[in-house]
This record gives sequence, C-alpha cells and structure tokens, in this order.
Amino acid sequence: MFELRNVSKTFHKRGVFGQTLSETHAVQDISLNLEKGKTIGVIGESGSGKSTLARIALRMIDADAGQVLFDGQDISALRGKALKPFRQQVQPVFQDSAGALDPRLTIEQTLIEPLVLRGSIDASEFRDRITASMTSVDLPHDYLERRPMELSGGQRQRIGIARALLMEPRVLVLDEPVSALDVSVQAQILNLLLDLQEQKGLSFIFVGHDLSVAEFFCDDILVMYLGEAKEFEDSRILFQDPKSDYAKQLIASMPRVL
Amino acid sequence: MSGLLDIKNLEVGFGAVTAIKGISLSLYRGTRMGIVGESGSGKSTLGLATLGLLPDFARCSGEVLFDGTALHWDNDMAMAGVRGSRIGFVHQDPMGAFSPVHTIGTHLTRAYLSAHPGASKADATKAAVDRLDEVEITDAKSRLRHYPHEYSGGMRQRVMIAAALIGNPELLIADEPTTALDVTTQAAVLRVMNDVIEARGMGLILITHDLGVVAEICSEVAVMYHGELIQHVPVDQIHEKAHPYTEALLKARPRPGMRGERLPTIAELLPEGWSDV
Amino acid sequence: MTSLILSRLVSSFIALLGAALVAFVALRLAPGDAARLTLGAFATDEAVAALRSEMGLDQSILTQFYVYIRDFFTGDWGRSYALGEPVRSLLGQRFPATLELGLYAFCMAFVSALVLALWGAHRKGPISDGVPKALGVLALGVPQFWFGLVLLIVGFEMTGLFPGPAGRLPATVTPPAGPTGMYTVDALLHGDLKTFATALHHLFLPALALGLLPFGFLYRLLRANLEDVSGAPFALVARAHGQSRLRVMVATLLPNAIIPMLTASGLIFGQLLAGSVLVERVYNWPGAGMLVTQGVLQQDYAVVQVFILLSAVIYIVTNLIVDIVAASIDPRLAKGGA
Repeated sequence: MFELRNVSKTFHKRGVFGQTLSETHAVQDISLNLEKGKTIGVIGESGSGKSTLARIALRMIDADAGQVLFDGQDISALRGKALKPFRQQVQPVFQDSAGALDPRLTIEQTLIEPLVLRGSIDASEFRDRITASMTSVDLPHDYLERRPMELSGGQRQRIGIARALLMEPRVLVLDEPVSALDVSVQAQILNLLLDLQEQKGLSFIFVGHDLSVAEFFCDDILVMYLGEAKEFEDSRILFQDPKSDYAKQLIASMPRVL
Repeated sequence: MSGLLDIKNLEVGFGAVTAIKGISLSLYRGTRMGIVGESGSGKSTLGLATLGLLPDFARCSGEVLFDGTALHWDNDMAMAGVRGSRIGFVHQDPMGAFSPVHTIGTHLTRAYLSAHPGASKADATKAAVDRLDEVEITDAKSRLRHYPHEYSGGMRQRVMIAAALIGNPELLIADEPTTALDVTTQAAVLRVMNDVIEARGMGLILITHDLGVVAEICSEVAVMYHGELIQHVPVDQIHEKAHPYTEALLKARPRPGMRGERLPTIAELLPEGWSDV
Repeated sequence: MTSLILSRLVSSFIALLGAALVAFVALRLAPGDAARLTLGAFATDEAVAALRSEMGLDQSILTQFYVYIRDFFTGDWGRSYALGEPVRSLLGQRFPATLELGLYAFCMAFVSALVLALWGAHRKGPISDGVPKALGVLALGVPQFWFGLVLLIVGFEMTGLFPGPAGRLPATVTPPAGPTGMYTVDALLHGDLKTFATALHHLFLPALALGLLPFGFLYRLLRANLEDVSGAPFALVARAHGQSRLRVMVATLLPNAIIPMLTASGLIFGQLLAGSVLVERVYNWPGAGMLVTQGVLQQDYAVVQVFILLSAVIYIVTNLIVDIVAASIDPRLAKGGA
C-alpha cells in the first residue's frame, strides 16, 4: 500500500563557491513496503538516517533517487496540489508535536487550522471531526480550551495524535513518538496507538532508538546504521536471532531487564 | 559503620511547589545507589541539594551529613571545598556541561586546581592526562588542546567522569549520565563508570529514570515519587519487596515477547487513591 | 584563523568600496551646484564653469568616482572649496580630536559596563544590580547633548571641578607636537605629564557625555548575556568542580557572554566617531563633526567624502580587530570564517 523503493538521500556541505566540502549519505538505497494495519519500525542510533527516512516518507524532503509509492501510484514527482490527497493520507506525529505548536493558540484553534487549510468542509463538520479525534485520544472536551503549555507531556502527545487523525489518514509516520515521555506515560501512548491501529486499521512507520519499545510495538524492524539498512526482519526473530553484526551489537548493548 | 552520606529529613521547595518532601536516606562507603523516578519526582533536585547547587530561590530544610559533618549549603566557599574534592558530579547533558569556548584541558585543569589549591600547572596537566587515560580516552595529551565540540557525545561524557574524578572524591553523583547517549555508547560509558568506581572504591549515587541502567551497575535502588522516597532496597530484592509504584514502573516497560499485548499502565496497577499520597 | 582574516579583509575591501560609492552618489544626488555654492550667487557663469572644471565636476561620473578613490588611497585628498584649505591639513587637526574623544568615551563605557555587569550578575542586590540597571535604561533615553549640558553645569559651573567648554586644552598651553594628533598620547610620548593631565582633565566631561549611551547599551547587553549563560549547565558543572561563584563568573561565564558585546563594540565605536557632533558643539571641541556638518551643508565634497572614507576605514579596522579577538575567544568563530 505504502512503499519506499530504493530511496537514497545525500546531504552536501558546501563551501562559499558551491563546491562540495563533504558528503553525508544519510539514506542509501532503502526499500520498505508497509501493508494495511501493520507497523514497520526503523531503529538506529543518532546519525543512522532514520529521521531522514521518515521525512522522505512524509515527502517533507525529496529523495535523490528512488520512489515513494502510495496505492501503487508513484508520488515522488508530485508537487503542490497534486500531493494533497497523499498529505491527507499520510500524517506525521513527532516527538513533541503539540509542543511545537503556537503557544498562544488554544487546542481548538490549533486543531481547526489544518481543517481550514484543507477547505471545503463546513463548520458543523469541523466540530464533528474535532470531537471525534478528541474522543479517539481519550481527552475530555474541556481540553479544547487549554493552551499547549497547560498540558503535560503525555497530554500534548495525545493532541499531536488527535491532530494527525483529523484528516482521517491511513498511515501515521511516528518519529520518536514516546522518546520524551516518562515510562508510565509512554505505556499509555503506546497502548493508545495500538488501540487506534486496531480500530481504524491504521498503518504505522515507527522511528525510534529504544529497542525494547520497537520490539513491543512493531511487526517488522529495519535496523539502520550510517544510512544503510543492516537488517530487515520480523521483530520477534530479530531480537531472538539477529543476523547482522551491528544488530547483534545493538541488542547486546541493551540494559538488563529488571 | 557510619554513613558516607546521611540525608536527614531533607525538604526542598521552589515557590509554592515542594520538590522534596522530607527525605531521609543513608549511603554507606563503597555503596552504589540508583535513585529512580519519573519527571517531577525530585530525584535531580536531591542530587543538586546535596551539593548545595540549587538556585538561590530554593528553600531547603533538614540536614545532609557528609562523612559525619553537616554541609553548609549557604557558605559557597565551604561548599567549594566539598564539591569536586569530596563529592564529584556528572551532569546529564554531555554537550551543555562544557563551556564551548574552553578546551577540554582547561576544564580538567581548572577542576584539578580547585581541588588542589596551590598545585602547579604541570601537576594539573599531568592529572588531566592520567584521568583521561583512566576513562579510556586514547592520545589524551594531544586531546587536551581540543574543544568540546570536537569530541563525540560518548567521549564528552567520559571526559565529564574524568573531570569529576580529578579531585579524588569519595562519592560520585551522576545525574542521568547516559540518557542523552545512544545505546551502544551508553553501554560503553556505563562500563567505564563501573570500572573506575570499583577500582577506587567510591560511593555512587546514580540518578536515572531507567531501571535498566540501575540494574547494570548499582547495588541498591531508591525509588522516588512526587518528592517522596517510597522504597529503598538492594537491587536484587526489588521484585520481592516491590512497592506497588515500583512494581508498576517495572511492568510499564515493554519486555520481550509482549508483541500484540497492551502494557499495564500505572493508574491500573496502583491501589485506589494511592497517587494522592 | 588565517582564512578568517583573509576573508574578512576581502569583505572589508568590498565594504569600503560600497561606502565610498554611497557617499559619492548621495552627495551628487543632493540638489544644488557645488561650484555655485562656493563662489556665491554673484559670480559670473564663466567663473562657475571654470571652477567646475577645476573641481572635475565636468567629467563623467565614472571618471570622478575613479579619481576620488585613487586620490584617497594616494593621499591626495584635495582642497576644501568652502574653507580654501587642503583637506589633509583640515582633517589632520580635526580628526584626531574626534578620534581621541571617541576612544576615551568608548573605553570608559566599555570598562564600566564590564565591571558593573559582572558585579551585578555576581551580587544581585538592589544596589549592585539595581542601580546600574536603572542607569543603563536611563542612558538609552537621555539625549547626549542634554547630558553634556548637565555635566557642564554640575562639573564646571556648580563645582568648578572640571574646565568649561574650552576645547581640548586651555589657550595658554601649547599642544604637544606629535605623530598621532591625540594630545594625551602625544604628551605621553614626549614625557610631558603635565600636559597629559591637563588634556585628560579637558577630555573627561565630554567623554563621559559621549560614553553614556554606549555604556547603557553595552551594559545591558553583557548583563543579559551573563544572565543567560549563568543558567547553562556548564556554569553548574564548573561549580560542582569546586570553583567559587566569583571564579566561575569571571573565568567561565564571561568568556561565553562577552562575544556579542565585542561585536556590538565594533559597531558602537564607529558610531561614536560619526555621532559626536552634538557633544563637540556643547564642549567647543574642535573635532571633525562640526567640520563635516558644515561640509555637508555647503556641498564641500572633498571634506565629506574623505571623512566618510576615513570613518569607513576605521570602522572596518575596528571590526576586523573585534573579529580576531572574538575568534581567539571562541574557536567556533574562527572556523566559521571561511
């Protein structure tokens, strides 16, 4: 359904005269195929290119090579208006997505914004959509009147998810969605995401650095190191029997479980 | 056996908020204690209060004895004699903890000279090289001239441990020392920290949100929740004697073989009304 | 570091040409005819035309610009048509007076801002921190000439502690002959301490008047930056290493906080030279400010153009020094130079 085919991205550091000083191969020839209702995890350490991959999947940056396909259609070359249906179907959730919002706006104003941008929806449908997504993330309605700073980290992340759900997407790209949260809150958000996946048949791309969270949350896991795919495997198999040296090292470094 | 560090009925407040609500805790010489809690539990405040490094507007009451002597937090000069030379400190932010305009060598030699007033510059440089060797930074001598931004995160964190050791303290307080690091780097830094503490027979207070990190190098664990100490047990007894909150913390972490399940949340696991303690 | 200096030199040269171009064009865009203004309304058209040709005004604009730049760098600065004297000797007397006043004003502002900001950040009491803060705010709001007048009234009329608005030295004292034209410097070079003291005495009030605004600006900048960096983790860690509060403030926080102040200093110093006209007027200071103001009004191209270029050179040199000092404090700046 949602596919990245042999995507690559190189960042150039350029000098004054446009000459290349250094190149970083952030993503090298990576392919993924995400099916309905499934979760693919992308894990790696800093500099592995996992966030760049998420941004390519969201079409926030363009890959130098390779294709992004949605429902079999190659959307890598589409721009502007033509990309609109894709943008509605594939929504991002970031580490602190609601914390990045305008602190002066109430949650309601924040949520209305993407709907207005989409246009062609009338006022009553605005309200229905917002009500529905607040219900989906288990937040009471009076939270609509609050501002981002009045919410806890977990509540803000729920708003981030609610905002992503407004467009009724089929895919969420989750970039470190629980990394900033306490363990107890992390558990709630992970549970919520799993519930939403079950109810709505959502597909997830989960980008993270916490191996035990990835093992718990994902069906398949792509292990990245310095832009390259080191291993792509069913999560259960990966953790019991890692094949690549890097994955072995990574798993051996995990702190003990108490 | 007298405690190396005895915290007696410590209370800390910031404005209307009470961050630490009357904690008493003893750490014996050579013991490694993990202090675990979620954000807002007061665990970092506890570390800074011990060193007298809380902001001026903090209200402190109670007492902290180090090696049997009470610490006078409001006397900066007296505390300066304790910090670094008796209690070392490792900060959680390996980037921000170094002044970007000073070399690594400057950081280390200043720390040495504060602990050994009157020592020569050459002694300080020698100590800096030795401590970098101790935390397994190769080519230490030439690296002294480098600036923090020329080091990787894991190396900076090892330098921070070196700087904390340079005054030869008896106790190390490490506040989330590996939280900002990648998992493989974290493993390496924890191993180095473990080795130097063992070799020197130092006491350790490791402040963290991660029970897994505690399990790696601590012998005791103290669990904090909303400014209170709710449990203090040897690490290997944490399951037998777990407080409901500790139990909930342990269970809220995903563990192998749970794919497809839901994680128990703390609210479900805690007895009714408990969180209002 | 070398690449930083080289790249700064190149950009300085471009900036200098830009300044020259702006000065050149702006003066020629101003209405009126310089030759006519010089000779007066009753001069014959032939005489005006002859003067125009002598001044080079009948040549193409490009040629005029080329000649202007060439002459500046070869030291042929032309002649003031309004005053009938060579620009070199005019500015040779006036510019050092402005430069000396500016230097003293700047140094007083810089040093007092540095000391008071450090002291205020170290001891946040109502007097150590509150008074300089209030002064800093006041400095930004008080007009310089008014402050200059107040200082005269208090320092001269009421107490008689300082000389009145009598220029750089009393008429009875012969100015020291010297290479720089700055009396305090020349007097010291000659070992003439008495003249040095007298010159300093005369400098004090105008320098104070001129330095108040820069003081306010620099003080507030450094104080705010010190406050910022005092919350940085490295401040906490330095104290955890056993360094005292004061030592951390001076040895760790100051080098981290001072760079914006240095950068601002470069800009401020340039402005002091150009903006001292009112203070010069109040103190009868024979500086370049008065000369240039007159020159602008009378379209005395030669004087104004040379002054602008001279200011630009000093401005660029100052900023080059600032860049080098800043890069020697913060290694990251030395790298970013390329």
